[in-house]
Amino acid sequence: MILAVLAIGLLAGVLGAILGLGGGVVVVPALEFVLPYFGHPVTITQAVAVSQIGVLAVGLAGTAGYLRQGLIRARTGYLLSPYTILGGVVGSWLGLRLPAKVVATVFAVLLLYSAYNLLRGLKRVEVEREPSRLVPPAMTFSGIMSGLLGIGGGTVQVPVMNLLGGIPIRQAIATSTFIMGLTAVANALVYSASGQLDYVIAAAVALGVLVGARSGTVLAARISAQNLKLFFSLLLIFTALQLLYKYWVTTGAI
Amino acid sequence: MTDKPKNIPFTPGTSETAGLPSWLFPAGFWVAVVALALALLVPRLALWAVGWVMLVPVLAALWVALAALKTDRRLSVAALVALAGLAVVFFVKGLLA
Repeated sequence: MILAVLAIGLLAGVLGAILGLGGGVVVVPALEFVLPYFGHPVTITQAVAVSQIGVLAVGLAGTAGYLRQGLIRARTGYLLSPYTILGGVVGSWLGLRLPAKVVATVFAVLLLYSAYNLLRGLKRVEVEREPSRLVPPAMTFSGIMSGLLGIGGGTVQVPVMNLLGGIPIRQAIATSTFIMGLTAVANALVYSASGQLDYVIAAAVALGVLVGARSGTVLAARISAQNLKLFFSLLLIFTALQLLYKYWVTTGAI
Repeated sequence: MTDKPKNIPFTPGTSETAGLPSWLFPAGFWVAVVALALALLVPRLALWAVGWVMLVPVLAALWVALAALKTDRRLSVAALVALAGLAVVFFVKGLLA
């Protein structure tokens, strides 16, 4: 089982490095669908709890790389992180209390939105602009999503920092990766206090993510990102439909 | 810097990509790889390995808060604010869970 979990982490790390989208969108559904085959079923809350450590690993590996390139805006990151931490705590609190069906549905919507963004390509701004006053509430919202769903928040955070914050796209991605580490620490604290965090599974996912993220940067040069985007988008749509089927159609799953 | 609006706290400054110790995250990465690999062999170490992964961003914020105290007060305060947020979560986590 641990090898399967390690492989899930590896996949999340590699896809994260190549497409900028890995972490929670891979780890949460994969754990939910794969672990029952090993006689270790997990609830979506437990999968989200483990994913917080996977997100931390993405943040650690990504920050190490982006620091070398001088792309991280430390001050902006630290000043915005209280908003994402606050949102993350609210999201984690909701994640522990909302019915699994609700969390799974929000997750499925996020997967469909991510697939749409992958296929369409994110709107982006390359020129520095003055930040909008909507950035703090938008960052809090991204924190809520990260706490509730176990995602890094990059899906929401990067567009917010780029389009509303006026930060050029590469710095927005790097700073978002940096912030997600701090947010995930807060989220993981809440989930671990609730007893939902399985440390052994979390360690395997995190190790897979760290190694996968490192290898992903090498693989990125050899793999056609376009084909991978199409394949991964279809996989996200399939996963979203399967999640909806499991929680809305299958009886006794809730 | 002076022409930036003062009422928006996250207004980027010119030197703000500096400040984070360049060695801390790569070192944290490799220690984490070793600790997590050990945790797979000895599962009772998993808590400590995961704890280390959680500690790296906290250590970085602490380092920045102290190191930038005299050279870049805004960066130092920003890191302290982030740490304060985490400290609050740490102390009230039992109530939230």
